[in-house]
Amino acid sequence: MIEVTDLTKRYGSTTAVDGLTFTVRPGAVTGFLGPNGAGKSTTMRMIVGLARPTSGSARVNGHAYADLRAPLQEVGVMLDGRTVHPGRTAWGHLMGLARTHGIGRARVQQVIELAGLTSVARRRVGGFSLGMTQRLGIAAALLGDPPTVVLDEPVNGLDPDGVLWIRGLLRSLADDGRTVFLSSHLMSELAAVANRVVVIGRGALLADDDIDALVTRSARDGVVRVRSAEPERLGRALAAAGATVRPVDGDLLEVTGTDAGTVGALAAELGVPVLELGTVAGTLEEAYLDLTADAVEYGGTGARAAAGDRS
Amino acid sequence: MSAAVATLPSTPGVTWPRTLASEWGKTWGLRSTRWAVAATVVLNAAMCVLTAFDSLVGPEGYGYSLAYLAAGYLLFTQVPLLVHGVLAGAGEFSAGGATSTFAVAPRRLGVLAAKAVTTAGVAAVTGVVTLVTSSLVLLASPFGAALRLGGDEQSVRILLGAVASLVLITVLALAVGALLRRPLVGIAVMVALGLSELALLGADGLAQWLPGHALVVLTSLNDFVALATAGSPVGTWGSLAVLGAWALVALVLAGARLRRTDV
Repeated sequence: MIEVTDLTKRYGSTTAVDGLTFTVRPGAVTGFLGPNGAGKSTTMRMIVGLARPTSGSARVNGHAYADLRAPLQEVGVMLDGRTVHPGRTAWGHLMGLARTHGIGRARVQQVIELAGLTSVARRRVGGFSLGMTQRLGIAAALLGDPPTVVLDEPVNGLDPDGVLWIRGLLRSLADDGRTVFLSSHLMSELAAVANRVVVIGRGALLADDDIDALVTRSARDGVVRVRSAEPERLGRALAAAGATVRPVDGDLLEVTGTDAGTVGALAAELGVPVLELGTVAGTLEEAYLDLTADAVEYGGTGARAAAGDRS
Repeated sequence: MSAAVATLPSTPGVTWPRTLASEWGKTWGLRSTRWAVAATVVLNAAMCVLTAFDSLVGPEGYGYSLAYLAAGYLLFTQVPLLVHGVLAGAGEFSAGGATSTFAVAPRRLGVLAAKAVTTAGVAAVTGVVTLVTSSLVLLASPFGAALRLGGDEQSVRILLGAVASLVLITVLALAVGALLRRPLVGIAVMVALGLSELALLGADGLAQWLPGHALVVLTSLNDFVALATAGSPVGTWGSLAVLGAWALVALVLAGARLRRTDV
């Protein structure tokens, strides 16, 4: 369980994280989504005590991270960036972490095997590919068999095999009843594995919802697409009936504010031949783009306003 | 997955001895540490090989004190150890690994203390191995049989003083590294501080307050020590206290930065 309350981080005049409040629950995979620079990594660094919040708090399993007696056995952490000294071997890195908790060699060997690093365990991390580094980060996160894992962009750099492996791993962790929190800027990746998703943009919360609920919030969800022999006539009739009509190309219309049945009935009444009729299902990708487009638009306007103030 | 997990410790948690064990293992796991130790030992032994052919060894020149001849070059040959100290303090910040270290052990001052003790240990091991190796080289030299093995007050001062100075200045280097978090800047600062004695020879009024002074005074022959500490408020062993104070202040500053700022 991770509880983030009114979490804010400012660097000088820049607000990286702006009053975030959300809860990550056990037994599910929760995705943490946002464009690059949205504040995902900063939030995660505050959750694990590496960055100090300007205000607000983050609690893990009911405690502030700094008060955890055995952090490795409470929260498995994999952060982005240079988290391993390149001069150490994979084995040496994991042993260094394990020794702080009195965790023995047997468990280190186990996570090395689990992460598929057996053949490179004695090699220096400086020569690792991105995918191998990611696997090492995941091995480190699982060292203490923790009930909560926090992973920053774990899929980055993994080959298709690795992606499938980590999806299965995350699902099995959640099925064990653990709290799984992972960030990504790839919506498609999260859609494949997450049950819930927390979306942020410019440091502020945009959505905190079940994946399914989020999809129905997509602006495109429920849009009716109709292709007909007389698009103009049909369009006028639909508009007169109170629907919003948008010509797409040629004979295709996109209609909102109604449903496919109504459109079909109206076309039959008018005697307009319908060539194609259907309802668009929203996708997570679209829901995400809708949400973040607003955030970017807001930021752009803000920037213009600020420039205007100076001139 | 849970069912197959290898046994985790029965008393879970981060303790300071565990943190120390971690840091000790981490430092020796790095090639740079092993290189720094080897370089210090080999450089100093090589200087002693050159000494074996030095006509100034003897009653008319440097005398026959084994301790003095073995420790006399440490002012220069300590440089790899200074570099090691700075890297031990700054390396994880610049090369990577600091986030892992401090996420796993959130008590940051405990980690810094463990790093300081580890670095002190590395310096002590290096100092002892260097002096033993160099002594063996000197004993095998043409005048080896004439060398006084020590046991006198001067030899004890030189040997103990050399190791203690190396330990404290390496801890100072660690603290400077942890404070600056930039290895190259840290190394430049430490070489300047460590070797500043050279530029200040004859200006003991200032030199005695610098961290590099202890090693020079403590490893010199009695005659030079008397000259160098005449009228000095610091004195012979006092120079070690001055060096210790430098190390302590730097550690406190590094600790303050570590506590206050993000990793």
